Amino acid sequence: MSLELISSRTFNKENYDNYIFDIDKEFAATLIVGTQQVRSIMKDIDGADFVDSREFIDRFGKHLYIDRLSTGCKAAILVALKPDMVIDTRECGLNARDTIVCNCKEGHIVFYDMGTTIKTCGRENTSIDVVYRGKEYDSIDDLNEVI
Amino acid sequence: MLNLLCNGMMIRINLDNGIYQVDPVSASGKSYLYSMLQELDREDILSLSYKDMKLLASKEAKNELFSRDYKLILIDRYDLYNGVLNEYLQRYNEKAIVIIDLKQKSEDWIDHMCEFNLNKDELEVSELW
Repeated sequence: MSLELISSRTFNKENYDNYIFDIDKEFAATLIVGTQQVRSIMKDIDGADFVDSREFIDRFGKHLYIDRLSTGCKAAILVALKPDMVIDTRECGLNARDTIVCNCKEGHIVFYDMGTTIKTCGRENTSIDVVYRGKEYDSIDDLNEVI
Repeated sequence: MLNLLCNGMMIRINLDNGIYQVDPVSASGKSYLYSMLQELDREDILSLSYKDMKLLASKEAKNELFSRDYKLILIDRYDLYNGVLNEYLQRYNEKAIVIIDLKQKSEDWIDHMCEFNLNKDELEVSELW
């Protein structure tokens, strides 16, 4: 399995019956499980700590309902928990986009050109497992050359 | 410039009137600001998110909502609106502070960028360029 990046330039939603456009709506209908990957995503994007399926602790120490996570964080969690779905990342900020590419080794996302290259999310030698336009990439540097 | 207080949180909008796109970073506090502005429920502040679009289904509804005077307009999750409010928001270019959460590039009509700085007790919005 790999994370498939589907370019927004060529994506046609009519070809997918498993396409998720409204991240908030899908997130609200999803049971959020505190896997290691979900915890890592929450930490990377929102600086948050998972408590349970309904609650998290934000970066200032406040207990908040899970629906108060950022939309970018919700999108990344959906990629992690629903690898059979195609998640639209148009609402993801650069940090959320980069976290998805670095953290998620399977799934499908509609990927947007945001005018900047992908960063390593603060980790050295981050290995990725991405398929873009039919070609596999395990290095961010190689992927950055083609996006 | 606009200072607001909501549930102990100081909101400092350090912007002149104009239309601003928010720096495309997740978790900066955009949706948080939306929820606080909803809570303030002031007539001179308009905050919209995608879930509010049902209020704007007709052209009449849009015309009515965007015929009023506002000091501050926040449009959250605008990437999902397919640009349907562009012409309405343009009307406020010099009359209000218009902040748009738009992650994708829109060089056609947005003049300025702004950034959010969220701390425990304060949210500051300032101009990036």
